[in-house]
Amino acid sequence: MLFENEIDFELIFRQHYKWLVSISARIISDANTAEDLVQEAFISVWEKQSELQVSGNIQAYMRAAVVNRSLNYLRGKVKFTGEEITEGHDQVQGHASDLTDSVLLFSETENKVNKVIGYLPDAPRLVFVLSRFEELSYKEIAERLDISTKTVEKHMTTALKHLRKHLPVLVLIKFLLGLW
Amino acid sequence: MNDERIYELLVKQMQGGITEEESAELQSYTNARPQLKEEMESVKAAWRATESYQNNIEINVDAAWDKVRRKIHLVQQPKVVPMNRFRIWALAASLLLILGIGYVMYQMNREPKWNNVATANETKKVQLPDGSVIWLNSNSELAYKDKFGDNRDVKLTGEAFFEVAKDPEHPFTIASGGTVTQVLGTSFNVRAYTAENKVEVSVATGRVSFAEAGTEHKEILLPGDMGSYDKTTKALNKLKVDNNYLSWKTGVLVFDNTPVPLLLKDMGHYYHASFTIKDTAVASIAFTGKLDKQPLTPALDILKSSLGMRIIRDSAQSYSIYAH
Repeated sequence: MLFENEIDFELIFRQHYKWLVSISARIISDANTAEDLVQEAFISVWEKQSELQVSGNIQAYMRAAVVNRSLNYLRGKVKFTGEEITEGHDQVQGHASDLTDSVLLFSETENKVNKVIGYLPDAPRLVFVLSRFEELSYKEIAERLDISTKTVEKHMTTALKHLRKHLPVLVLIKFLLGLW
Repeated sequence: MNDERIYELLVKQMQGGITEEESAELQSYTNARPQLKEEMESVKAAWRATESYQNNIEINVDAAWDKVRRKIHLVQQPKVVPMNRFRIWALAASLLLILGIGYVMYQMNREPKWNNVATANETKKVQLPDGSVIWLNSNSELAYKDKFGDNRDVKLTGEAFFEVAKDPEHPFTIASGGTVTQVLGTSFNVRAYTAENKVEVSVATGRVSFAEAGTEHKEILLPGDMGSYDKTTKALNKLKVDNNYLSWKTGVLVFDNTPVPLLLKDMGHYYHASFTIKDTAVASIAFTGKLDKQPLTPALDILKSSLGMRIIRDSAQSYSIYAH
């Protein structure tokens, strides 16, 4: 059996829950649903534990399970193949004032980052997240999303240009200087 | 050269999977266009700045675990109903329902009485009326009211692991060996054998209040803490849990560079055996390894062969230990 008993299972749940919710939330950009998906993933391994052969550690297994569930959740909801995204996607509002904001709120980096990534259209955002956080190659992303590597290239370029353009200057300087 | 290719190489560089050739290729692009170098640097900064994306979501792990726990318990209930016998089952179910309502009404209108569960050489799992689950070690006795009122009171002699259902309105209280352990909902182990001079409470999850009965003398225990009460001196101390405090329940003993005297203490608990150390040199020997549901004799053989100790059996459950 995968778990010695329910307490063992509970400990693993408590240890990894938050981290797994972050992974899912990055992919589907919805923290509430991310919690549901992670809970379902745990319930499913508990129920199937007698049939499961987990090679490697449970942590890596849960991560893969959560990524799969999150991508399945998006399937049908999001169109990944969309033609070229119009440059400068104008949902980011008042980024001129972002600059002054960030002078005042140097510590608000995290909020800014969440906001700016959130403004990306779904497809480039997802391609970026899979590359940045799941460390997948263009080829792997193309396979997972069932799109061509050409399209992955386009989405990734769009995403990176968007981040460069919209992240407040001071946030970038902070990271340029390695002040993290 | 196009943007897509440059960005692809940049991503590979940041992921750490860029080859030497590709690196040179990227270098040649930035050499050819100096302002591109600046652009690349700010893309890299943006990449690093996204580190924190969705990393600080407010999460209530307790609430989430409660949900999951409820669901896995629901699933374990039997749910097989052959369709062609549906009518018979429906009839049986409605009869059961009527009996059930009658039983519940009867239960609600009578005084609670004490129930006793005792074990001899076996361990037992007990489910209490409030949903709490208790694993009782051998030679132990648990008394609980079959209907809990404002307080959930139980009495324990011997050893048990408690997984207390969460109910902040109704504290769960365990009286054992002159101590009172009180919790709201958590899991922990209580060891309070009459023959032993100590009462020990080891916490797995949650928060536990551990007090000397009838006094203000208490310690608040968190996961990883063990409260220890000395019945003679009445001293109450907070220590770290022993790694193997749940071995009686899991069947597994784990040792990590553990000195032999401590190892023998854990093994003594688990095997209900007593070990007498005959050489002081034994104290400087340490053992690393795992005993997974091993009977006593093979376990002792492992110690003998890996530590070079001599173990002499004095009587049924008592042994003398020599360094050589």
